[in-house]
Amino acid sequence: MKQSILTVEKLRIGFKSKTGINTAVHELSFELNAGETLAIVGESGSGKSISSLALLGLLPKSATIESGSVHLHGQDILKMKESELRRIRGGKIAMIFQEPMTALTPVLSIGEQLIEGILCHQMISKQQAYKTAVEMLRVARIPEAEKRMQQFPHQLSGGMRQRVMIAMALACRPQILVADEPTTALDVTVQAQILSLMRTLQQEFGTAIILVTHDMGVVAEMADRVLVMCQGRQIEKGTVLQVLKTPQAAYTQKLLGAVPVMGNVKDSRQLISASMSARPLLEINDLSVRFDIREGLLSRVKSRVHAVEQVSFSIAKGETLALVGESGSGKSTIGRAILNLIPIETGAVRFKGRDITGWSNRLMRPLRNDMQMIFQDPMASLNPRKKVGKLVAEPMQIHTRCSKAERYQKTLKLFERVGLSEQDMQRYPHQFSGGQRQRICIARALATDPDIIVADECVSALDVSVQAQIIELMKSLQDERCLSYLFISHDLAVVEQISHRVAVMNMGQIVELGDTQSVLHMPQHVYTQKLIAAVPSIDPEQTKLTQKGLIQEELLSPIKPIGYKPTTSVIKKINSSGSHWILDQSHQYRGNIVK
Amino acid sequence: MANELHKPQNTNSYFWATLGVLHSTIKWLVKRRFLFFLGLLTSILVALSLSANHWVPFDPEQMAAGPRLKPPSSSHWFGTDEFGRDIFSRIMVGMRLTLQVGFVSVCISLSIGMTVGLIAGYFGGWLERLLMRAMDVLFSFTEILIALALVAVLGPSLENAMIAIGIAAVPFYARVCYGAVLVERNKPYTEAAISIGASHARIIFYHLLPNVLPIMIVVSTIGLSNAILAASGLSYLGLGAQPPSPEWGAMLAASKNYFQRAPSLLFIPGLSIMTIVLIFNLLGDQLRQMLDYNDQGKHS
Repeated sequence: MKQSILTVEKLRIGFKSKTGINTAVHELSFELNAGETLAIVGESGSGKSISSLALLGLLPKSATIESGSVHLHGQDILKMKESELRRIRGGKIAMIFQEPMTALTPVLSIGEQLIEGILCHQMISKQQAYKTAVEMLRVARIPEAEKRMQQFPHQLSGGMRQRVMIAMALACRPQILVADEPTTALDVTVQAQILSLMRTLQQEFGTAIILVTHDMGVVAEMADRVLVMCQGRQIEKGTVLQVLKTPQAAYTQKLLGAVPVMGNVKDSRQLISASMSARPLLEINDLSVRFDIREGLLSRVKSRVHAVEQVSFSIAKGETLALVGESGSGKSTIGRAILNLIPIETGAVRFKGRDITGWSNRLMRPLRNDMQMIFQDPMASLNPRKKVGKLVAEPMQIHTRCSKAERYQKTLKLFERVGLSEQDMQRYPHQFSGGQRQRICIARALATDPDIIVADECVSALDVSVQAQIIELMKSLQDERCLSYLFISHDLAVVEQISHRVAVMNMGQIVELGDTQSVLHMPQHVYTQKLIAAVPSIDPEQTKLTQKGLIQEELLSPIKPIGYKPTTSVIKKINSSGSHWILDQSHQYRGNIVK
Repeated sequence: MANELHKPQNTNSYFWATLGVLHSTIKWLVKRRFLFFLGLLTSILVALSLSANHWVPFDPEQMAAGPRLKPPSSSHWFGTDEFGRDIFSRIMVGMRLTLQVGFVSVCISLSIGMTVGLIAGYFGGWLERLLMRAMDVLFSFTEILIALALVAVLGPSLENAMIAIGIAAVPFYARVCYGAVLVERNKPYTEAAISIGASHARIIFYHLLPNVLPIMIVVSTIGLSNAILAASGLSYLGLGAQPPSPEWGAMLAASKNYFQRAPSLLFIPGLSIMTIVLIFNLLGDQLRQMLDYNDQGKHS
């Protein structure tokens, strides 16, 4: 007989507004048993985060609990006083947040923050608390725990910070751990490490976990039971096998169907246009980009970040080349360097046979209508004070001489093409949803009928169902207009859907390049293999992520002293034609080890 | 036939659309009633001051319009001064001078300051260093000190006081504008504008300016009250408006000798200055709330 420690009954949470109360969560009920993991899944705006905050009495002031109860060991949390709640927070229920940088105080050392938490809940001396803190860091598999105690949050990597958060959360042996999107801000390989750490610690301490996430892969990896939420209502509840294998509700089916799964793409995308032998649209040769780091009183250049190191590739007309890699691998830098938005150190960029390396902004201006860019955050890349119709028409206003009426007609066509209406042209960016905004950005990029679009993480900030729609739109536009894409992404499953060829980046270098199917299904380079292995699968029956990689590997830094000359990279062909190659590992450029 | 069917439907929807706009306008006015009230008050004051010469009961410079140094009464609402001039008439006519000083000097400092801020913030590099260090040098003196020095050079008159106050406040506007441009310049939409091939002028005036303007409007509304205070200060010191001009600061200065016999002589110009400054400060605060589109987003 399982013992339930937390019971939520008919919880209703609303937000106060002038017109009354807008209910954000309707009649949410669930139980949590000791030692199990319950995943609350939903898209953005489904009320999953607000429900988890209610469990700790941490709701924002504008929110009220309309009805319902949350019982922890028979006590109603919602009726508790602030002083009682404080004892429960951290002591009985602990929380891990999405962004480990903002959840840690930047001005206090890791040790001070850990000890503070321990002293709040346990009647022990400072020395004992220090010992417990060091032990917790060791438990969270943080190397050199004693040294870390003196360090400050900004000195640690994202994965390390999340480990510290976990150590902090578990320091008082809580019975329940609420994790709100704990790995969303992390790279896949780090995510795999954090997830397996959470699972190991759960077995060691017997903690029950409430995992709030939008990522079905994480759910399959971690959860025992799943609760699906949509627009504040619970849609489906059941064990992870039931929900993921045989979903009952239509919404769950839709949600699962939209999740991009690696290996599900049956036939690789075929190039619609000319053969590869024709002159490529864009050629990059030995491209290197470096950033200066200035230090000291006179702000002299002391060292440089080798962001991109001797990268070569080409893109044919109508082709999608995907650049994949973890954060800091230099993939976005390449995109910007090609458009001459940042200066290039060495190498050559040829566009339509013309050498455009290092062209100034003025020289580039007439070329910009052929090369467009879509950014990650559609809200930030649209001017908030301009009507979107104006914004989409702007590139035409700059590059073509056509009358206002003509421009209006063309803009209207673009809006219709990306699935928006004429009325939408008169609205401002903040009046749209994330997916609609990205459609506007696409329409804007299409306005001058470009040859190539650099798409920098353009679907990463979107919900999966919206993500799938945008990818579909981009694919059909490509077929229509024979567009080329440089598709920059960290998500291998998305990349598989859209790209013809894939280039895998690590430490500023392309370590493997080849057509999508062979790179993703027969990866040759060690790094590519590691990256693919870290992607969580949404099939709960598949073997879970291995326990390997629990100890953080050596962190490599691309910062080099001035005058450092990288060794010439050597390419090893995998197939006879040389279309699939990897970087020879014995010659691979390595960063320094971060001390 | 389809056209015939469409027409009445269109006029109908137009009618409802107009009604909708009307409705949302009224809702907006109710929501921002304090701002509405302040705006109305300001426009009334502006209208009154502009037309003051035509309706005030006495000529503001006419001596012996009544007995000297009298407290407020039914014939002289605010009393009379040491020359028997009607203070109510003088205050009303003086309000035009006050508003004019504020408006002109803010226009001077806003136009120079914003240009400097936009150029320094957008282009960066040596231009930024040159312009902003020059502003820093000016900033290291008190505003009123610079204004005093400028008036000393230009000669004491109200026009010169306006110019002096306007120039003295330039570094403040330049700094605020520069800071705002730096924030906006690093947002992806600026990079997006570069990547569609927009020219420098286009980025500065079409993309950056509308995003900087709200902040500048708020700052200049509050700057308006600063300028009014500074102008009154200069006039009080005898460097601004010269007698017999009914400028409030000059009136204060003239009345200080009769403070004990007729306190109203001192209080009335002082209270007038305070009221105007308060109104513009409140207006600036309300405008800031309204123009903060993030704030709007949170509520709707």
